[in-house]
Amino acid sequence: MNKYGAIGVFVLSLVIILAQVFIFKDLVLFGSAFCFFYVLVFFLLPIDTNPLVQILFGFVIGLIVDSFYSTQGVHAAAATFLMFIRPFWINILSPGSGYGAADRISIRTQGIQWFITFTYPLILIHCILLFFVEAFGFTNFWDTLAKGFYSSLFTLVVVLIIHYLLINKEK
Amino acid sequence: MRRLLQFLYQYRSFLLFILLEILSFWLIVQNNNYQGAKYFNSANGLSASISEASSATFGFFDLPEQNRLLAEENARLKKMLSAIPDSIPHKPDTLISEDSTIWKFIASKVINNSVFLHNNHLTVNKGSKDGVYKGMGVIGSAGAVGQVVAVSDHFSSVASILNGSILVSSLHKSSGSLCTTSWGGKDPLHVNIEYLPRHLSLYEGDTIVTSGYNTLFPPNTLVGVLDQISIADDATFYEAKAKLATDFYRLSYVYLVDFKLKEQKDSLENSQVLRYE
Repeated sequence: MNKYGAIGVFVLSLVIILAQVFIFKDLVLFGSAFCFFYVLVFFLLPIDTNPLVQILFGFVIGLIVDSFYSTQGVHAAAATFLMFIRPFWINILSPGSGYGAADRISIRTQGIQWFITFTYPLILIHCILLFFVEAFGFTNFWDTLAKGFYSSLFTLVVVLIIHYLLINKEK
Repeated sequence: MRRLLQFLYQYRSFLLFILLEILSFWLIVQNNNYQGAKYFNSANGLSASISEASSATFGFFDLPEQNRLLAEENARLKKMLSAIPDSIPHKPDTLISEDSTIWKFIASKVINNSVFLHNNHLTVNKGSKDGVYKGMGVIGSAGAVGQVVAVSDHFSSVASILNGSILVSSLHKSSGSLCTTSWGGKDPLHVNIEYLPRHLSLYEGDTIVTSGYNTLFPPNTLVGVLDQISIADDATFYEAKAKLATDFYRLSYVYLVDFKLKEQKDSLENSQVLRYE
């Protein structure tokens, strides 16, 4: 991220969010698996970013996505929570030797297995929270849960694909 | 005081998190209450104009299908027109001419749509400058669509029937019995028809239309046709489902319904409610 810096994060976030709201917004498999691959911008933030900035970043990105989905506040609530727990989750998963020189999470530095261990629980929490907040209650409990689960799988696959594409560009 | 500041500083990220969550939930509740927070819905200028550009591009691929739907609607309207006998002398009938101007329709294009969420909305490209106001009904070429919940200068956000908070006052057409249409939150093709009492005989294929009682939709606008009917032994009302007349998956053009006397009717009814309360 050093060679990109803050502007790089900004441009990348913009591209990812535009792709999300134009292409992946209408891509819903079997009427229940949504793709929220914009969460990738949260994973690409440098590890040592100030937690306050992280939370604000999550909230703002959530609001932007919300304005396209006509779901005011739903994505913002889920994304804020995601960014709140992200630093704790990074600490818990910290490898014995620390993160070393790597200043952000990437398949190239941490390996695919670790990357999935890191991202999938966050994606799952994000998706499930999102659908429950959207339904605003527990009617259709199992349907909402299933929607969240299928969406998390679909999102993970797309996140991995896009992440591989981005890595190759960096080389 | 110093301790307090220290405490705030120590838990600053948690406090910020709580603050932002409260803000998000406030936005959600505002939205659900139809107060329509002004800036973060899909009717706001920036996201609506981006959606419009996108729909202008992708709309091309759907043109043949939309042509077919409009041609079908034309055919239906022509048939209704031909059913009016020519032999009736065209005298200026004050009753009819007044009636035909009571309902006005604003044609509009759908530029953003969702069907799979629990509360679905669509965005259309007409706004307050075109005479759209909050609370207008929306119909498609096939039947009822929803209600306008937020308006900006050139765009409006519509809560579709596929929205947990929209209830449509409806009629079972063959018996004239009043019922309510609501969405269960699962299947974008079907809606629940509630409060049809036990003594009616219902058949699959019966038509459900709007009642026109709540000035949202013109009376007799198609909502759907019954296709699943069941009743428990001790229940007062049927549990019925209807297949929606409107195909929300490929909704492209809609009409916003302007009922000229809406204000008059609503204020009269509200004053009565207050008196008897």
